[in-house]
Amino acid sequence: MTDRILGILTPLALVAALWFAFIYAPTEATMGTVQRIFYFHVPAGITSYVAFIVVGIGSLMFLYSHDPKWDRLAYCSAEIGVLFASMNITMGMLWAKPVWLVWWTWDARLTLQLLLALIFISYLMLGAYVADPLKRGSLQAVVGLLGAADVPLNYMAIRWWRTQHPEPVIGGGEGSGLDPDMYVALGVAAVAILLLYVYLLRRRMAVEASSEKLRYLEQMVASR
Amino acid sequence: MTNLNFLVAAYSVFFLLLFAYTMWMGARQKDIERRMKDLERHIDAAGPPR
Repeated sequence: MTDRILGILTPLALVAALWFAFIYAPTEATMGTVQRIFYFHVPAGITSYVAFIVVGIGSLMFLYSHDPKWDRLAYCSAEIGVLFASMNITMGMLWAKPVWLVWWTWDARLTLQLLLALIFISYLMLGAYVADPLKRGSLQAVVGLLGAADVPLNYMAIRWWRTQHPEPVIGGGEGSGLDPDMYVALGVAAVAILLLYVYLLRRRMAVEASSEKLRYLEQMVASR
Repeated sequence: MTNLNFLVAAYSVFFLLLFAYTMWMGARQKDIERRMKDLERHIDAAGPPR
């Protein structure tokens, strides 16, 4: 039932977010229309942080309880986190080229976000190489915790080191902030993309549960 | 490339990645269902355990 409601609500929210980003929000004075990338680029980044923090919580709970449901939560969240981090990085590059005139620069925020994505790609690769579920879960949990520790560092990067990436527009210092209509558009997109994360996570966890059941049945048949 | 092209490219990347991921997830679910059916058929054919 929840999946059905989310399945209807999420596409509607995404369409609303697109309307707010392209029609409702005013055009930014300096960068022009390309600034509209912001309305999906920032929420994709925030959602990747949420996903990786969920990995950290799932990893911690798995190390404490050895309950496979926590390992499943962490693994599925890491996969979706990598998806959103990839969206965030790629959209950022497509925004950087017309504004900074380069696709990429080794700025603190950009480097840490790339590092975060690479840590969780290695987390997923580790899962493919270790066969024993308990050993795999424990090893992945350690990597997951290390990766989650990078999230606050990444969040603070644009506050601690003033380099190429713009200053924070939310929770920044004096002079930061957005046009009220831009705030609305950003808020709608953030809600839509967080809903998308929850929906994808629930669907992915259902697929993973079926996969575990299949593995169990295959082992039973092999032992007969 | 004009600014508008970059904007369209960025949103296309977002939805293409999303589409690819959901397609992959659906394909995986279908594969699991198929293997589950094969397994059930195998169990039925083998009869009760010895």
